[in-house]
Parts: sequence; structure tokens; C-alpha cells
Amino acid sequence: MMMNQMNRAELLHWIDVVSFVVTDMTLYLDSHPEDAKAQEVFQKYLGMRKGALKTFAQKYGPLVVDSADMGNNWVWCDMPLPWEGDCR
Amino acid sequence: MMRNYNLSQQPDYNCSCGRDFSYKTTQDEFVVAMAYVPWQNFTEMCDPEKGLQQGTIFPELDLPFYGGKAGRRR
Repeated sequence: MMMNQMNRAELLHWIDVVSFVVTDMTLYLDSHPEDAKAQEVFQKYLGMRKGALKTFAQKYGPLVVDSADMGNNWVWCDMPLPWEGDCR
Repeated sequence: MMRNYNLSQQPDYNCSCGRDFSYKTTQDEFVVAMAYVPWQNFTEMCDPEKGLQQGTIFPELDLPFYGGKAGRRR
């Protein structure tokens, strides 16, 4: 499914998924810095994470401060917190 | 200059204490009575969604968990 068709919850989940790959691959690369294939996978998912954060920021406001640009001015505190409404 | 701690570029990396930390991979080279962890080689990665569910993206690390009472046999 394309990112811009995802609703907020789906996009949040997608950010979790790609971020988890980035984290796990970081751990692997820490002990295997020379592994080119792993670096390639890492770069790919790091790009996907950045893209997902950027899309989320455009649609719902910045999730992390790295994707806060003054374009959507300082909506940081007006938007619902990512976990809000989760304990249904 | 920050010393290059990239072990793999110096296969026979000798620690300042003089001991040899070179990468021992084959069975016969290992010293008795010393613990070692086999070297992981990245081959393939599982589907990211599945990786998040199971807690690792490396199939070789997705191991069953045998929880249970330690010691006392029930």
C-alpha cells in the first residue's frame, strides 16, 4: 500500500516496521561494519523511514523533531499524541 | 587522531595488552575452556512486518523460547 493512502494508524505502524529494520540492522552493522549487503539494506530502510516521517509530518504534523519544518509552523503541541486513543 | 577501532580491517588485531584477538572462525583454532560466539553472517532478511512481530529481522535469530521452571522437574 502506498504511504499517502495510509491513514494515521497505518502510517504509524509502517514507521514502526521500517524503524525496527533500521535498529536491528544498526546492531548488526556495529559488529559487522564491512558487510556491504547489510549496509545496502540499512540505507534502503533508513530512506524509507525518513520518507515515512516526512509523509507523516506533512499529513498529521511532525512525529519527531527531525521532521518538524517551519512549513507547518509549530503545531507540535496541538496535534494528538501518537499513542492517544490507543487504550480502547 | 581517533584510533581506528575497526577490527575487521586489521584481521590480526593485537590488543595493547599484547593478546591476539584475530578472528578465529574455524573449530580447531579455538582455545579450550574459552567461550566463543559463532560469527553471524548476514544472508537474507525476513519480511519487515514479520520481523517486527517476531522481534528480529534475522531468520537465524528467530529461535523458540522454552520458558519453564528452572531446576525442579515437575
